[in-house]
Amino acid sequence: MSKSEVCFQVFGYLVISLVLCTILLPVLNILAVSLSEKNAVIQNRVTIFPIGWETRSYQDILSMRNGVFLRTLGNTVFITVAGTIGALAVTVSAAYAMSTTFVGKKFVTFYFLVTMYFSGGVIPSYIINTNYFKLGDSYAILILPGLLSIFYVIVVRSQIEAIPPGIYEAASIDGATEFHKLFLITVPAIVPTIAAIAMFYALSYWNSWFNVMIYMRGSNKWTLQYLLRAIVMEQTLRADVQPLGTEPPPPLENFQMAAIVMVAAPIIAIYPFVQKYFVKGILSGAVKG
Amino acid sequence: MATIGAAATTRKKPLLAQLKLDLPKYVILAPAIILLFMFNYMPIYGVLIAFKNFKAAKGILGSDWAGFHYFELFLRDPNFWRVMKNTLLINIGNLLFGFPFPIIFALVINELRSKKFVKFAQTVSYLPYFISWVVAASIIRSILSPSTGMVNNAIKFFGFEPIYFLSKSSFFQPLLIISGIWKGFGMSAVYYIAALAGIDQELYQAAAVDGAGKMRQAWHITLPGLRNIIIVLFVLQLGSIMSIGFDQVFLLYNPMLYETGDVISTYTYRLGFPDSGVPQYSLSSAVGFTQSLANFILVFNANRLAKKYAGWSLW
Repeated sequence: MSKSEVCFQVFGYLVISLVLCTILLPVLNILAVSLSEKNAVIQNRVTIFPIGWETRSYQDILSMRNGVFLRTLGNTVFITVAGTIGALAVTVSAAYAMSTTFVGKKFVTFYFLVTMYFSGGVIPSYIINTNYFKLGDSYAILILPGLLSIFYVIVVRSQIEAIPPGIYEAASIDGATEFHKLFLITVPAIVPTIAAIAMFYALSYWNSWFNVMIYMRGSNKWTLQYLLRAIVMEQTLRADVQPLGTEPPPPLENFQMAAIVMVAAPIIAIYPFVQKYFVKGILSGAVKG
Repeated sequence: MATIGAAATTRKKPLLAQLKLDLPKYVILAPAIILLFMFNYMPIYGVLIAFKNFKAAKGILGSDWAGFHYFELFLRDPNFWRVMKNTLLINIGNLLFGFPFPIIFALVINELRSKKFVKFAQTVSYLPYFISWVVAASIIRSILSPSTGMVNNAIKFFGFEPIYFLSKSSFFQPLLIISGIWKGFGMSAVYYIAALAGIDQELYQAAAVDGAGKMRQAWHITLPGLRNIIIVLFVLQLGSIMSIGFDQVFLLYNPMLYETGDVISTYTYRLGFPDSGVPQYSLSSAVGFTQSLANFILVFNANRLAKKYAGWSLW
């Protein structure tokens, strides 16, 4: 390596490490605060290593009034699983149909594309969903609107079109129905793509909170993200999310940091193993065309 | 485009017979069509609220017409022009700083020798993409806290006064731009890293043999290799210049920061769901509709440009 090459390498590692620190240090700091003992937190001595070892904040969160945390966790898992399965069914079906020819396909294409470019907006949606469909305060409003993203229909369709048409023709001659062709030929042929879009749908359900904020009345259908917002971002802790039973109460900092850790932990634990699906998904949207 | 099922439909059939043949396809499409009808087309019909004095009791059709009253109302509202200005300024900041960041990150990472380190760096860089804005904003608020945040601890360590990042409106736009970069650069860099991997390595060797230095190689080989993806992503980002993600702003701002931080999406939200007072559904819908319309024109043209200059098309 030449001297300038060595310089560049050193500089490169340094710059990238610095960038990574902006991600790692805050995460470690929050983890450390959540696990540190009360006095260290109050005196502001915690950096990225816990001082003392105190897991009471975590117990406090688990034992929040009426088991709000566990209930919320259950809701989030339910919405994510039901939403993702439903979304895959709707998306893959639509993509399959759009890869075939049928009367009125031009119209359906237009019908799909309009929704990518134009939306009614928050308030019209809210009025329609609550006054007309009566979906306020229901699980349905947390699941149904997210079931279909036309963008993923496009991604899946382009994968389906890469399947050799001869397979479908042979199947038709053997008397296969459209449903056979969808479930027995198409789905098995595009499993990696299905896995990738499943991840995107799952992530968006797992991270959802806005519809909880505008549609839910009580805390019984909250999602984890919304619970975290209630714990960390409101001026005063609502009765719903106050820690119960422990006297004296832990410093708010500990409690809030523990909440951040508990809400973020599942995603941070899982994402290194599924990142390749996201990369694939993102690229298949970009290289199309 | 390959037409699947061509064998069955080559002979032209009478319409009715063809419709009967296509019936299973309509059944397969039905859930998607119904969902779009419910959650996309009904709200578009609901935009009528913007042109009416909407009263929930009278319903959308039953409410009295207001014409363009609510459009005139928000055009005269100084707050509207403030949120327009903020939305544009933040987006321009994103284009200037947020857009090049992942390109530089990808270029540097691409040159590093240790593949293990590169893999680690990429994995870490994806982390902010996977967490929600709620988690991200919680982290940002906590590290910026003037009393206990690690950023201010560092500032205090060097003997300076702590900075109240989240109550000074002059800091807020840079904060949005930086936190936006922080959350998205890892995944955005994916496009460029993939494009870099696609460049023929022999070109570099040939250039080196011809005596071209690193800079000339970067200029004549690397940049042309990235050209298309840069154009596509730039044009698409230009197309969203009128919109800023609601979550990021909403979860980080507070009334002290409206001056620089209030954007169209948060303004529309607060009109419809005010902390106190009567919801202004019609006014909020009018602002939202105007933004949708502007977005539609911008995104539509952005896609056309992307197709024209880089051969990229969505459908």
